[in-house]
Amino acid sequence: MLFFIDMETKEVLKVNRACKTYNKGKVWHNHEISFSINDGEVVGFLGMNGAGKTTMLKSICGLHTFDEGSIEICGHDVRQDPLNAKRNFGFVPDNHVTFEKLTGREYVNFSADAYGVNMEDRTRLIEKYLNLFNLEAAFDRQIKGYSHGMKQKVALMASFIHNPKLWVLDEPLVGLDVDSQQEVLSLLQNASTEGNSVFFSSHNLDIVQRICHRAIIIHNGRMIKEIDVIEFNKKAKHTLEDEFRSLVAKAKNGEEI
Amino acid sequence: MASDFLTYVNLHNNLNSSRNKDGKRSYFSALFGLAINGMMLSLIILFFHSLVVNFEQTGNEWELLVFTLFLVFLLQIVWSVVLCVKIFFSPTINAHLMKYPIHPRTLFLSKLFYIFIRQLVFGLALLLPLLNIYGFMLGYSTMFFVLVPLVAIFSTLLAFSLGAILSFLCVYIKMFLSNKFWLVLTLFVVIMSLGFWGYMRLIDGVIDVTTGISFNVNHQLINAIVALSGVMSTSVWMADILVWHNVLLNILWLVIVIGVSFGILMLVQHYFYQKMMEIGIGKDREYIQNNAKDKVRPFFWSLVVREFKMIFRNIGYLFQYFTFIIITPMMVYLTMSSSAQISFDLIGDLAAVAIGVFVICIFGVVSTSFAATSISREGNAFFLLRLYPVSPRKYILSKVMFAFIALVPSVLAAVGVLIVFNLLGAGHALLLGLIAIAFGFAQICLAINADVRNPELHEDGSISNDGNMSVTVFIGLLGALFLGFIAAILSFAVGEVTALMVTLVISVCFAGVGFLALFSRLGQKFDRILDR
Repeated sequence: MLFFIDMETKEVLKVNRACKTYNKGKVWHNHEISFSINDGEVVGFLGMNGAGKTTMLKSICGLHTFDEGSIEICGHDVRQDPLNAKRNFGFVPDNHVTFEKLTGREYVNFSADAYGVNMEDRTRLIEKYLNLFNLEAAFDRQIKGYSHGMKQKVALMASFIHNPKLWVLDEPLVGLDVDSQQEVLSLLQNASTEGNSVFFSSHNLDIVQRICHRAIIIHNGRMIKEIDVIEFNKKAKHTLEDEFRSLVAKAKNGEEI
Repeated sequence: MASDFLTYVNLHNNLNSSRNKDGKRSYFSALFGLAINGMMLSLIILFFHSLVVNFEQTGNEWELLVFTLFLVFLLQIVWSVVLCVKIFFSPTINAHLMKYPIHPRTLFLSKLFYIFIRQLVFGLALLLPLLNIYGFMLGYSTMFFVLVPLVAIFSTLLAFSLGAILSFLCVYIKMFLSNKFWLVLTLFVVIMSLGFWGYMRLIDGVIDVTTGISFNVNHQLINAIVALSGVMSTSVWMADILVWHNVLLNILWLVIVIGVSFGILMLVQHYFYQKMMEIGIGKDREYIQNNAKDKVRPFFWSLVVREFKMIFRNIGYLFQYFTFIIITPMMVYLTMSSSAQISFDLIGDLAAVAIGVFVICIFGVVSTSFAATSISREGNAFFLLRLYPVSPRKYILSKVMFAFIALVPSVLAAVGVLIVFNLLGAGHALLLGLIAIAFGFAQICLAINADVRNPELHEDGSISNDGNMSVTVFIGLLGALFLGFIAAILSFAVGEVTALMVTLVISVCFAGVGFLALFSRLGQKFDRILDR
């Protein structure tokens, strides 16, 4: 069951020459970044530290303003029609921020209220996520007492309780143990199988190579390459990490890519 | 070396608390704080001047000296407890500092040193003016003034060490009460009520107002102070040093007591500090469990319910939010019954309505001041809220509603008290209530607007610089004074009912302006927060 989906939309996310200017000169030249993500795709967003990944993700989610260009989610411009755009995505930031005073259940229900999720879907999805993440024992306890991984899991539950069309995640695997990483990856792959799209930033290129359909690489606010990971896996004799290193090195040296 | 480093860290952390997120020092806040402190100190000095005159007349000036030293000593202990609880046991800073290879004792000592500096400033700020005025007025020799700083240091050292020991007890009690919110609320209400009742009794029974600006101290107070001064040993020793009586012996006694006190403090530190720090940063801590079922709510109410949960689960916020609301009716009653007599003596019966407007608005200001942290107390979670498909307007409206829910019953209860105890007629009291609600609404909008414009978004929602609250309370007090003044003038000129009606219209205008100011360009204000 999907909520708030505009069924006719094929492009779930469309970034068109989005540009953010900071006070101290143009740090982020996003007029170079134009890309789109389609139904059911899993797309990795790669770049070195400070490349502008988080800024881009936050701009998509309305947590940062941007100056030029446009970003559309399921056909809704995030600046002109922010509420409908927000109904169509869920975002998990990299800092594990949650409403720590609430219990896990209270937080997820709060989030579900925000997206208008009915009781039937709410119960079903909560049960599904609880089984996947093994969070039953802690779910009625205050989040403040959760471990790092548990906070990440409850943040995932709260962000995707409305089963959005676009799942946006900033470094979703950081700080998670092996089992938890696998649980999160299963969740992302399931989302894709169900027709939702996943867009996440990561420094773990093995995982990107394993689960993504495409990868977008940026450097200094510039998109330097878009890689079809499925094709890459078929043809390449080296890893995605090698490819990434080589591309970034070329970008640093100002070489043509 | 390590100690120097940590001292620096502590100083840095705390000095930075008055800087805003952009790193600029909030000069306005600093100046504002300075002005308020200066005003308070001037009032204390003015009052103390009257006390010296009164005690000199009865020949009990030495007892006043002992009592003053004792009172300041008590204040220093309270301030020490507050500082020690905040600085010794700050979970965020401790969690950070404990990562370094440093013994907890070193950490403790560096904090101790920092707190002592602040305590000394506080002690000197109070004792120097009071004791110097005392010395000048009673014509003491130069030696008295030379010894004042020494006594201030002794007083600070002793109060500081006792406060530090008591801070451990306070933190233990705080841990015990951490999840017992109803018990905490009840305790807050009882303590605040008793405190306010005692304060009003003091005003009522001890100080007779004669001409409006000068005070005659009642003989009951003088006798009580004379009786008490015999048992305030440490204060007696300090007073004796100042008047050059058994100086060396008294210094010796003080040094012994301070030494013992610091010895106990180090023992307490040795056995309890590390354990309590670990509990503070989350180890072995008990967390709330709520087994409520899943529930669907309209999101607006979900926002309001979340506000209540966040308040109920934080002792500091619980105190700020509920205590004043619950005790406002009692405060209004006590203040009105006291001021009725004073106002009658000073300007006649017609002033009752004006005093009523002033009093109820002031308590309205205090009980809505909490709104000034509406955004700040979200901390980083504010950004989470921006992810939801909810307009800034609806979000802020839920904040207004949350504060308003508290204001209305509080004002209505205060109105009921005024009617039941016959302090005002029913019609007058109801008009007063409407004025307070309108004015309180304006105050809520003003407070939230201040916070939307300049929130302090820390990771955990803590607030280190409540400048928004200070400014909005100050403006609110001016507003209450203005409304009281208008009501007073009009009461004499055109009668009480008309005065109240005009005041109500002005309050409603305030509310309208406040509402418009808050909701105009809200989206842009939110964008500015996001881009900080």
